[in-house]
Amino acid sequence: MMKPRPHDFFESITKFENPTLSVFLTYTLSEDVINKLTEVCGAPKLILHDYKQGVTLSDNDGSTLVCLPIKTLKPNDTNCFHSKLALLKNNEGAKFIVGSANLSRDSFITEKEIAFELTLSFDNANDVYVYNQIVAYLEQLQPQLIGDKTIFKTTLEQLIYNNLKVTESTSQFVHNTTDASIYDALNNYLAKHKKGEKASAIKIATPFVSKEYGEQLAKIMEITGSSNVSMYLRNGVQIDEFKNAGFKIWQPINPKSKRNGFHAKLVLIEYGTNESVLYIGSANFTKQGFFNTLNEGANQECGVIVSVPKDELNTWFNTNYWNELSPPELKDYEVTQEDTEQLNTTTYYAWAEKTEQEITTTYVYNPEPLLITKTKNGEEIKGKTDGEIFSTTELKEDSSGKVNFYIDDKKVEVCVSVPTDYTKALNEKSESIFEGFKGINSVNTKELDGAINTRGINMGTTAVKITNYPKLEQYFKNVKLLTENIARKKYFSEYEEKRIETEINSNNDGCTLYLTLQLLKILKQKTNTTNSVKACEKRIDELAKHLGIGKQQLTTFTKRWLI
Amino acid sequence: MAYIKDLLTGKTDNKQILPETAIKAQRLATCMAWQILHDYPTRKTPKAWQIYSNLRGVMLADEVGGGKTFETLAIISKALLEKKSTRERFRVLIIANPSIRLKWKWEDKCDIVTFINQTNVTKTAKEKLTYFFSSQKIITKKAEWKEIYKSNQGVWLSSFPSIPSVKDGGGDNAKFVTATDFPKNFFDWIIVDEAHALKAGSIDTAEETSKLDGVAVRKINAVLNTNDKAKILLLTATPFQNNTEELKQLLGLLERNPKHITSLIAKGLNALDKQIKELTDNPKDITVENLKGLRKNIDHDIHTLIGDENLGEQRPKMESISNKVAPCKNGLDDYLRDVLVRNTKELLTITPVPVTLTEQEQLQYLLYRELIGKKEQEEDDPKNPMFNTKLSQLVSSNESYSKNNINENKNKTINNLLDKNTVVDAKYTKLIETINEIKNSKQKNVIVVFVSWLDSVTALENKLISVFNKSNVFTLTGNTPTEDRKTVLENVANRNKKVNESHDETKILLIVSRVGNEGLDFDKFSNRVIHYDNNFNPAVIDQRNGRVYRGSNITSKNKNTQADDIEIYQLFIQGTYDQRILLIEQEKRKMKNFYLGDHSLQQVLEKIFDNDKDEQEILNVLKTITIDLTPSKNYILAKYKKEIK
Repeated sequence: MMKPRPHDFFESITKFENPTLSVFLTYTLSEDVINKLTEVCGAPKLILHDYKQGVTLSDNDGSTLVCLPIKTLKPNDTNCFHSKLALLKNNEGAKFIVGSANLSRDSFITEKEIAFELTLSFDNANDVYVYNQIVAYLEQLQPQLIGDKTIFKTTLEQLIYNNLKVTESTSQFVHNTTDASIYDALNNYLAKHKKGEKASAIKIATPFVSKEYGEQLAKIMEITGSSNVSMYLRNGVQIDEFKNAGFKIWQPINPKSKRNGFHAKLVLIEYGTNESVLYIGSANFTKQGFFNTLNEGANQECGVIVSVPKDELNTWFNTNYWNELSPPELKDYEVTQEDTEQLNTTTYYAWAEKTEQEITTTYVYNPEPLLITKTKNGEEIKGKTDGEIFSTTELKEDSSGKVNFYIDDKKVEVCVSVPTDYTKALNEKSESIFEGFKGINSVNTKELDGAINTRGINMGTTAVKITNYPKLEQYFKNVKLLTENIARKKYFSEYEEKRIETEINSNNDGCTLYLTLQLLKILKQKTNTTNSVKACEKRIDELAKHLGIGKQQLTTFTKRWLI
Repeated sequence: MAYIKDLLTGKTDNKQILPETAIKAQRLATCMAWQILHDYPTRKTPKAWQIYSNLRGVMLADEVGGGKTFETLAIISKALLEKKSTRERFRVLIIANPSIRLKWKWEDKCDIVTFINQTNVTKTAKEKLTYFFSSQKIITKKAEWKEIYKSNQGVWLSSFPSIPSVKDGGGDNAKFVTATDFPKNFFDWIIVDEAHALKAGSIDTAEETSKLDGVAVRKINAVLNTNDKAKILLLTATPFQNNTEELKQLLGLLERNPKHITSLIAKGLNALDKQIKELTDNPKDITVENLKGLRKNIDHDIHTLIGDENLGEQRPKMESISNKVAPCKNGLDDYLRDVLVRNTKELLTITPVPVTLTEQEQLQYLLYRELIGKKEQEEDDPKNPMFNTKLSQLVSSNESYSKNNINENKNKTINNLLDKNTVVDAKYTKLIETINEIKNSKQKNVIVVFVSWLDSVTALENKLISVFNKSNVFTLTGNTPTEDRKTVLENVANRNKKVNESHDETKILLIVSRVGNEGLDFDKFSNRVIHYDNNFNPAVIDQRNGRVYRGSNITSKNKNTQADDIEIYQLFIQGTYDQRILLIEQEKRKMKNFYLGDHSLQQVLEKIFDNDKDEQEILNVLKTITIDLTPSKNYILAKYKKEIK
């Protein structure tokens, strides 16, 4: 069923067919990786990154590439938004990749990373369970975004499916919350799925370690019932507490990374001959990553806990890469590494968005802070400052959709994200049922009637040619096309449910009643459409009343019409 | 001025050969045809005419009753009378369906007799014509051709099935299966009546069973190939009823070297196909479906061929089609306008009467519509020929519509939702409103209501009787026995007389189905027409109008007003298929008027024949009309200018 696959992250994205939208969560990001993503993923891309780690985009591919900064839920000086996830969706299902890799250069060039990939089908109730967990996590992030939330909201609407069948799965998407840590999630998982079973071995890989674990290390042995613990660590990190707890220490034989190690984070709990339990995700095996809750100042982390065949990770723990420290090596061990991840948080970057009211807001992450001016050495731009974030509506985009200004005398060029363009691209990609629906006003009745009325039938030879069908005929065809689109579609997102509702409520006339009847007819033939069916039924009653159609007549009619 | 006047007045050697009443209407057509077929080849080729260097025939394209027969008789008569001796050969073959051959058959009171009687020629000339036409030979079997008497002058009357079989293929090189089956180098003139019937099927096969298909065209080619000097006249009221390929074949018949014109047309059509493909490749373009649909109608092919939307404005120039032919200002377009010869009749003004639907009615229309077409493509689907019919019936009456294999239960379900057929009720209501608003004139109190569907006639009759009284409502349908039709019309005339005597404003209604579209005269008691149902074909509407646009309604014609107070109304339900039918008919009408109703020269000629004008005035008129004339018309004009100088 599920396999951590040894292939490339980008290859994995390419292999997912007809993606309609994609969401990426990352701590850090770099332009190279974004460019590569644009090459391999044809769907609109929404990237959420820690707000201290952004890059300035001077090209956003017609607003189909949007980077939005996000703060962790309970920010302090040391924690961050640390989740790493790729979610790709098409009309049949989704694929998600969760693991240790950021969208940064290092992750793809120098670090040893691990990620878990899972393809989910909307037809499979277990898959839907995991999908919904991921979407619920994304939904919950909404208040943490900085700036306009329109694009994120639109994305969520297209991600949410309200009417799919769900059954709890043994695979779990997990994340820490205000009062539960990743450790708690693992504990719950084991209590539920491995109750009474004792693990035979525990393997933990973490590039970073805590200064002090205290009782935490004993906790791991307690919940697994095993003291056979192996730690896979970078060279030179602090190992005293592990040594004292009797853990085995493994380190890379020949570390290639400039930072002397690997970046993968995992916990593998082995059970004799049975399947193993695996956590893969963004959390380091540290207090800030693994053991603390958000209220306790943890990073915002996520990951998966799954059951895997016993030997699944044998290759990864291959002894050609890892070396177990021998007693003499342990004796002579020298700590050379800092204990926590320390990244540059002083580089400024900017992003810009257009709101629904057509106002362009430019944001700058400006930690130092530096002087922001319209021209080189020129006048300072007026705006608001909220912590390290400066925002202004003073700048107008040029003809190529960019705003230009200066930070500390260095020119900055920012491409403005336009929500309507993004939504349009989303709809085109997802073959939204309303894509191309022309509604009731698709015919210029004035032109058609004019052709007949203005000069009577003796029109000149250069008069209007027939470009349109008469209004009702064209509307009939428009509705036909829409119902055909619906017939082809298997699953309906919240976005489409809302569109249906908007459309049937847009007018109070006979044509709309016809549309609603036709929609009801087709939606009733499908599963996963309960909400829209209800909306149509309600609307039909209202419209019939408006048109003076008796209740009894309507009931008889709909009963027969819908057969 | 002799040349022009001779032709226009129908005089030859100062002997008039056309009846006076026919002259005005038919002189231009006759003049044009004569010019192309007889006069032009004998004169020095003007440059603009090089396009016609291979032309051996024209298509006479007047409306039914417009004078094609008389024009043909005039041309043949003029050609015959030019023969100095009976030894000079002049053999005419007329090919016509047995059913329409009556008008060519020599008998008492036939068209030919009328023509000769009314013609203002000498007694000798009349005798010559009488002898020529009365000694016609009718060939009804293929085998008879072998034994025909080979007189130098005469008329042979036959039909397609009675012309010997031709070899497969061959196109313009078509040959008879056995060369001796048909007399070689025999006919000088070939007249094909109802030439539009050359398209597949639809031919009377009473004489010899044979499928027509492309065979008919090959048969004509085979006949023409027996004498490459022969001239041909194709008679059809509806040259644009054929598809592209068929029109190409027809035009090919008019050319001695048909490759010349067919390549011209093919080039144009290829360009058209390309254009259509480009448009259809872009399905988002709203006009595409329409274009695809229109593609089936030749008029729209030509329409697009000569420049798509702005007919007449963006016509391809001849240079762009072929640089080998002499410049012809508007290319293929002018060519068509010249070889499709027609006299012009004053166009009637038709008043469209929109029926507006309420919200309830719109809902009901859409629901009914659901029972007819499931897919958008169905309109263009040849496998579903009933589609257009069903839709036409939907906007006519529930009675006609519901009989048409519609899901009866669903139909009832829709009817019950709103208690009645509100869509058609709206049209009924508008009809009654329109009838009430019409003012009678000239003691003609009858309003003729044309309906396409028999079931609608009955429905309409009942409705109208309830409003206008049984004594004022008459019907004439296919169910009226032929022998009773005259009685019906007499009853209508009598009722009209009675109403006139009582001097009241009573309206008399004559509901007529398709059966009354042709051959009946209502002009004595009516000058008001309502088209209750529409038709895609403008010829049908013209035919219907022709029932009152004739006789007593034209004789008192005043040039400055609508022909003697005729009023025509056309009902249509707005937003529905009814409107589509009307729009398509209008498009076709525009086409037809463009190719067949070129007024410019006609206007000049009207002025020339207006005795109030002096020659200087005519010259001034001529100076103003120099643009937009086809080569053929320019030629006539140039000649006239030269002569009056």
